[in-house]
Amino acid sequence: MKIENGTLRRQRNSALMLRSPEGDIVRIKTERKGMGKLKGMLILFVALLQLCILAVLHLTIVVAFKSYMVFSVVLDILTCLYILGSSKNGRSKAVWIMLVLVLFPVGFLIYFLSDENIFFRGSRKRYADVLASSQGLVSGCPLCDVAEGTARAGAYIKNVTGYVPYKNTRAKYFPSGAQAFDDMLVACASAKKFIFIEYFTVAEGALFARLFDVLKERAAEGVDVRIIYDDMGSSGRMSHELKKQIRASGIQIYAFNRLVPLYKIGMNYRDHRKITVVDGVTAYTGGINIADEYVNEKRMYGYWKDNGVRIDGEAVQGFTLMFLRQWEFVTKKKFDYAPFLNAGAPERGEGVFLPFAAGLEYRDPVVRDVYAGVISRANEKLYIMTPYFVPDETIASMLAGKAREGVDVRIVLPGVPDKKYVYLISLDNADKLIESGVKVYTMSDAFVHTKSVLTENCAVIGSANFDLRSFFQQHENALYTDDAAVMRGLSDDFAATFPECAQRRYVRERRGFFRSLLIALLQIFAPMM
Amino acid sequence: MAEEFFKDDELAVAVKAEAAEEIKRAYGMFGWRLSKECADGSYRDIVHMDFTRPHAIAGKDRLQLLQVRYEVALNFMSRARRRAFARAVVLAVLLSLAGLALVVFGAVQTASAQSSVFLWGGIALIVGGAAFFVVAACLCRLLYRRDSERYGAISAVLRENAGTILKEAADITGVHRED
Repeated sequence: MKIENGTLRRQRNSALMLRSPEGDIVRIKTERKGMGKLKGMLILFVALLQLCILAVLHLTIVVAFKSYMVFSVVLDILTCLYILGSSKNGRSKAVWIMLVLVLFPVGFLIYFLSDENIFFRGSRKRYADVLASSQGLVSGCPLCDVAEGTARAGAYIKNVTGYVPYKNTRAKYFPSGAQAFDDMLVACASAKKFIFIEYFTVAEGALFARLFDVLKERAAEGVDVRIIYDDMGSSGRMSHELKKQIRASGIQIYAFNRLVPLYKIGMNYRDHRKITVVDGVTAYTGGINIADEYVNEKRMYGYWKDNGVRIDGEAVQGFTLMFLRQWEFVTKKKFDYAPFLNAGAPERGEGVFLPFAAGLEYRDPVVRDVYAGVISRANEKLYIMTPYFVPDETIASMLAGKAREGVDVRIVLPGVPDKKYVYLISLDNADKLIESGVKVYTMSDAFVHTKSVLTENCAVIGSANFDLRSFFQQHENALYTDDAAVMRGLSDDFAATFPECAQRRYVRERRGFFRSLLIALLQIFAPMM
Repeated sequence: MAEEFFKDDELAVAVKAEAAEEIKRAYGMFGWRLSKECADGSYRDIVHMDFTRPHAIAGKDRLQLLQVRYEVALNFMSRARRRAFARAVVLAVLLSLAGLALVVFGAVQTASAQSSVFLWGGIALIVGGAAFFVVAACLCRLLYRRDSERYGAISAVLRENAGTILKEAADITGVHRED
């Protein structure tokens, strides 16, 4: 359908005009993502083309030297042994071994081109330098006088990531992106020293226009404004013109991991974090990104359900440190963190706050392990809200086990998918747990983008989905807390969401052969989705 | 909340002309005010409308969810009207084509018959083809009736849901239907 550009066009002879072929009565005119998709497809095509050329060249050698076939089979077997001994999760190992053996003439080659230990070594080293130079800059509260579950989570996070627990922090939970961003805008407008923004998606639109007006004005007043966006998450959604305007207004903006049309494994590692820090006094995180759909000012997949949390006080330092480390990584410039840390005055708060980051800078799958700890300590209830549900075997069996023990395990998924193939896998994975007693809900007419877990002991709110990408591949951040205000807010949000959902019933193998085959094929690639 | 940061929210929609008044009233209940309306340049049954609403309207999250559900219900009702015919029309076309093919083939056989077997065979094909039309008519009527009942029942539920949604929205915004 042709859309008028907001102007009243001359009325033609209506009898000669056609009737619209569109079946819908009403259509919201906000959908504009063609360029981003086109760019992504082009990059994927060029990368696959390179892989094909490489495979053809390799096969040419195989044909020219017959004995090389034997050599490549030997290399495949050695590669499989290498994979078995690697630190990958079981599912990834199985998928890779299958791929190497099925594509046996070039299998080992494809695997080694995709091995992060070889092609992500440089980035890992830089991250290690950043972490080493920023250790011990912040001091939190001791873990001896906190609840046992929180102490265990705190110890794990501190030992693996270096992030420490905090008290003296006040928190506020927002059950929607609109509420979180309205509050954030007001906080940014009162910034005196610095504003740090790190999001997977930063997109042009009504929300960014509002935020940009405030940031521009603050930057003009001498406030240090810095933005990190992920180049894939924001692909095609921010024009060069806007980036120029942002830089011209004195705001520093950097892309994380620029998209380049090359087959390299590093392209798969994205910055999925969602952080805003204002003056080191206030911080926000949650499932939200800076794009109109997150505040329902753009319609993409029905109603967009999201959440956010604001913290004021000592725990803000954790998020400041997270941002500064990523800033040092993307800018490749060393600087002194001290002026930005220890800025927040103690606030009256009830609970302990554990801000933490996850990503390839850490050897451990931090998100998976924190979630596993939370699940293992739940004795009464375990509520999960996530857009994608592709857990590994450990998490899936833990959830099933908890439900069998009598814990009230509930999972809320979207009723409208954003990626249909991932949705198919998510529903398949969730349905498998229903027989164990897990209650699975899908929110009607809505895309659930909230990533949160609630038990009777704690709440985890942040950017990390319940999927293998968040567990093993992406840079994520979250807030673990036992603060009563946050837990009450999240609990109320769950209570308000359940009546808006349809509960899924367990149906044993009712789907057809082709659907089962499709899901089986999709499950192979689930670790990459 | 510092309201000086927030301009009014804006919404642009393209709607079917016959539902334009209904949409205007409904969106009014969701707190939207019509700011501009114009006809489409290409299609005679499409109207473009721009609405505005105060950014900090009370119960905004709930209103947004209700509005999505109202639009989904409205669009499904429109599609249901088409779907009630769809299967019957497809079946009618297929059976009619098959019947027509039999009639034509039978007529050709009859006209060029060398023996009585081909003559009667041709006549049988013509009768069979005609029977296909009768069967097509009966089957299509049956299918249409069943689909109409099915989609009618769904539409009735959705119409009721849409009414409930609008009532809840009106209770939040305080804007009630005038008629």
